[in-house]
Amino acid sequence: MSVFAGKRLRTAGALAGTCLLLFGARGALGHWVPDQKGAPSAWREAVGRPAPEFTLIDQEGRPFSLSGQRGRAVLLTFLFTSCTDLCPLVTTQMAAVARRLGPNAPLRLVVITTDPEVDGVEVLRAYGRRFGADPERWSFLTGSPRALERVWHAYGVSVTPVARGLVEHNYVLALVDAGGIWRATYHGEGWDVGQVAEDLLRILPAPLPTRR
Amino acid sequence: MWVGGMRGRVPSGGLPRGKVGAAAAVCLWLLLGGCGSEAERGASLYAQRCLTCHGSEGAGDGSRAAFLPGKVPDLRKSSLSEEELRRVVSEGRKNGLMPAFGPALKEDEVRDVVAYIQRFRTP
Repeated sequence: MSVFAGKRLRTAGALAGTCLLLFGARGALGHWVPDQKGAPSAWREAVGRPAPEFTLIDQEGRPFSLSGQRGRAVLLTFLFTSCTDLCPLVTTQMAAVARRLGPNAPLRLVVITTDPEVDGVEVLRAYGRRFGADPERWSFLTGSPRALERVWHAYGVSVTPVARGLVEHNYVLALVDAGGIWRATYHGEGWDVGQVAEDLLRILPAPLPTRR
Repeated sequence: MWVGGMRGRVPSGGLPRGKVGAAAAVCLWLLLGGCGSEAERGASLYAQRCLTCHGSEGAGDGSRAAFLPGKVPDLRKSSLSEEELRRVVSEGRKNGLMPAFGPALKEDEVRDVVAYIQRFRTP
């Protein structure tokens, strides 16, 4: 065997080892959630650390802080109201998760805008209404570009403005438990309603008393 | 450009008739449509904001349509008036799947995109 052939073999071995290692790490950290056609479309990542705190403004113009939600699980995502991609679908999926868990589940749905230029309080309120969102259970948040940038960054959301009312962003769905621990993140827009509901059921505290 | 490229090749007796006609046609095209007419701006906005759901001919068969829970309306068969179309584009639909573009677009942009949508209609 030539010196070069030996080198090639060692390189191939190292590559195969690295692939195996990465594959193993992937299994330990999370898993792909296949879509209906079997192609991976969302990556579920286990997190397990305190969720980054933020204070923003909700669709009623009230301050909203994550720490103020202790005692409820929080399902948190990022989108913008004039989105022509999958944001409206993600919004309907969040509503479907809440329906599955029932009206007394101690759960708060939170949507944070990725387009503060357009998505002010009024616009977010109208958006919530179009989806039949109850403001006591579902918050749509905006804030200063600087405050929002900090939150986007903390939750791994990358935002690129394209035109007025048009931004590019990745889809992130974060699950925060009632103690403020960030338990998991779904990366991508293809997360499954049943799977997310199941994950939430594992971390939800006792149901809230029936609302009158 | 072709018009510029003609310079230097103009015969001393002036342009041949055919070339004069072609130059006039280009000028007319530039004047009427080439500089960004209402329809052209509407087409560009449609491609940017509507195409993924409504499709290139407005048939409701855009690349994202199959992923939505409801059926995307066929704009070719829409019975909405121009004013109603403007309202839907500006305010969205109640189910939330059709976004409200009013906060993002200017009034004249809404008008342009509606003018373009109306071209899909079959008589």
